Amino acid sequence: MQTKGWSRVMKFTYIQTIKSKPFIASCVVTLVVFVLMIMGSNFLPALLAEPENTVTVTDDEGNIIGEEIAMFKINKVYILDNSELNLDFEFLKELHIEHEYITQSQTSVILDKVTQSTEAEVMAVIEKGGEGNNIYYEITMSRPQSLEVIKSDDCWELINVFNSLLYHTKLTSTGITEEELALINAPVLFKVMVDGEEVKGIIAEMVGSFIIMITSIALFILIFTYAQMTAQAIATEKSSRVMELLLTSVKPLAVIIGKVLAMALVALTSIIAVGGLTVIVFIVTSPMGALGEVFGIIETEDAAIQELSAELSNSFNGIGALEIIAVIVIFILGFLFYSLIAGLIGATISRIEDLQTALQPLMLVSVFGFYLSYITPLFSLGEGGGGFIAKLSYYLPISSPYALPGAILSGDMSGGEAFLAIGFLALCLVLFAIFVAKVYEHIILHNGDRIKLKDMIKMVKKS
Amino acid sequence: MSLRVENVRKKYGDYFAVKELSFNIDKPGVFALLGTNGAGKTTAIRVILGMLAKESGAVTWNNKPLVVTDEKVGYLAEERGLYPKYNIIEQMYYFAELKGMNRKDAGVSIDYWFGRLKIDEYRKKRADQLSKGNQQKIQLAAALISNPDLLILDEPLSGLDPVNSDLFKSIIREQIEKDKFIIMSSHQMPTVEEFCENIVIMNRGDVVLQGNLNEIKKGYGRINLSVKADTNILPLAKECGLEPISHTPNGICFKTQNEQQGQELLKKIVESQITLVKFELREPSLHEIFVEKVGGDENAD
Repeated sequence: MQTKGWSRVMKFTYIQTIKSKPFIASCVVTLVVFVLMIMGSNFLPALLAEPENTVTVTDDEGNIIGEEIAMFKINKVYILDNSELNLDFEFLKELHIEHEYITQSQTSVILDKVTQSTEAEVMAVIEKGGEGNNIYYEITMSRPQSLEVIKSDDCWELINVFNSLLYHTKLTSTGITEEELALINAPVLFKVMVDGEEVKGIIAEMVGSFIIMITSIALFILIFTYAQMTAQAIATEKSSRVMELLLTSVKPLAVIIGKVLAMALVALTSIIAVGGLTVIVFIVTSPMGALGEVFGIIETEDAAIQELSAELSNSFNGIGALEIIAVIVIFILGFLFYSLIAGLIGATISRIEDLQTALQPLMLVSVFGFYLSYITPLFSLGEGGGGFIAKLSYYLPISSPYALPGAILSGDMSGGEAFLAIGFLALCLVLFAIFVAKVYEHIILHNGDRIKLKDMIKMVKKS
Repeated sequence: MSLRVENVRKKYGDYFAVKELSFNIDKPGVFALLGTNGAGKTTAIRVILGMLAKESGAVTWNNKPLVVTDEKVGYLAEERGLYPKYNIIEQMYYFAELKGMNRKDAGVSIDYWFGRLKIDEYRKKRADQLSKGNQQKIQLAAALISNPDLLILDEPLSGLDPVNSDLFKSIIREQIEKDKFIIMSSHQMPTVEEFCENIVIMNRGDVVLQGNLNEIKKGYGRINLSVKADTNILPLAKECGLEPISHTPNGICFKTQNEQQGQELLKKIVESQITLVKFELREPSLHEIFVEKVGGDENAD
């Protein structure tokens, strides 16, 4: 039996690897980076945010009844209304913004006052210009020089409010009723359909692309790092001459199977340990921070974040147990594929210092596969993941381990297509495993110059 | 039990590293596989163990093809190997379990061999913290841990100090007493002579001599003459047709054509009333046979 003893090789390799200082150090460093990223994403916006504008709330008789956070940083606005629309700014009181109408003659004095002011006050001038059919309105807001008092963004927010008021008043001044106004302002919703299904909007596409890119980066790092470790483990055994001792107890094929599976377990251990703790940190900190808003854990009033949150929610709602199993299967297949190649490379060298040179071609192939999967979203935007480059990346065994999980999770692939692509990857793996089985025992005790691919092909033909 | 190696050939590219190697080991004891560096001994051992594929031939153990992973075989490789960064005791348990031993039996065996080889204090150390000699002891323990029936020792004594060399020899002697089959490759001819009944000498893949060591020596006859006297005996030797091979503090060495030639010189020395300190007429040593068989090959490295 060619594979007898693989489980003992796997057990020993697994235990020794997870006990090793490099593995523990890499897990700790990765965990620290992830935790810092999550905590930074959650708390940095809050830490860097401007202090809230707290205002005192009084009752009708002027008695203080409490405090609340104002929507705007601006506390007072001087208004020169030359719009001829007789704009009603009384609503500003509800926004905790004091307003004072000024005349044309006061503008220069007020402008000087506002410019030098250390209070959160601005001057707004609303003017009507042009003639006939070329009439226009202009809102000019002047703020204090000091950015510590008010920033331009605060002015833009208030200008938007004034703009809405101007628009509303323009229409009502023509005699349009509120009902007619509601009709005019009714939003227009639109979508593009293909074969009865709605084509994703740009935000949804971006969310999908984000998932694909993040997934391919994570898988590339995981698969390639642990494949390299497999090569390292085999090369170490060979160069330290332990292999000869092992081969009196187990066949070469059992050694490589044991090593590859041990490294797969090590990778899964790392994912579970680092991933699990990262998720815990995410769950604990997100309800207090920005990621909680993005992932819909806490409510936000920011419309853009609401939309992003909704799309993320849609994307993640589409992920079921089948999708997760598919991703795990792809990870394992991809890992085995790359680890077998790396293990074979590790067996072709006699000295450990030759390993990096020997691994360079694999690195190039792997990086090419990764980029193919990484750029897939760029080529398939608007095509629902169906572009040629995308298809290529799904079926090429060097890129499919990186590309398929993202495509499945983002819903870019149908179930049938995913099944076909996974099946093709599995077939390639089996064929490659047969190749490895045929050449491995011929090269494992080889000493001297590195064995080349053509030599291995000769071995397969001979055997 | 018996080990049969029949017409084994191994080729690297166009070069035959082993050509038609055949020998039998029908009874327990030590069988010596000798040769210069690069003669093909280690390749032959690897082929016998099934680690390298052979071009042709057969290796049988108890009349069945030898599958080393299915039999109790211990191997001390020429190029020693341990995991440099791993704990010694964990490596030993791993090697034992790979041999199919359970943890309890492995523990008993490890305790015995670590005690016997005086390496108990290194259990918790890493291999790269040990001296070469101590690493060699650990590996001998690994080879013996499963109480193998067939033991292959490739240069077991190389690099050992005299004390540890004696320790290894005593263990080999114990294994012989336990009726183990041992194949030993060594460049230390006195050691081989001490243990081995049968030998094979290889040179550049060819078997240049094989058989029972005593019979081989008898075949040569007692032709090595070593004489030490208090007076110059060279003129007398010349009269007998003997030319000296070497001069050492222990005397002058000659190679005779037969025993009579030696006896003739002795007679002349006695007649000349020369005081004789040493007169030894003996069979050639294995060292001398080895040098004669492979020493003339300039290509042997």
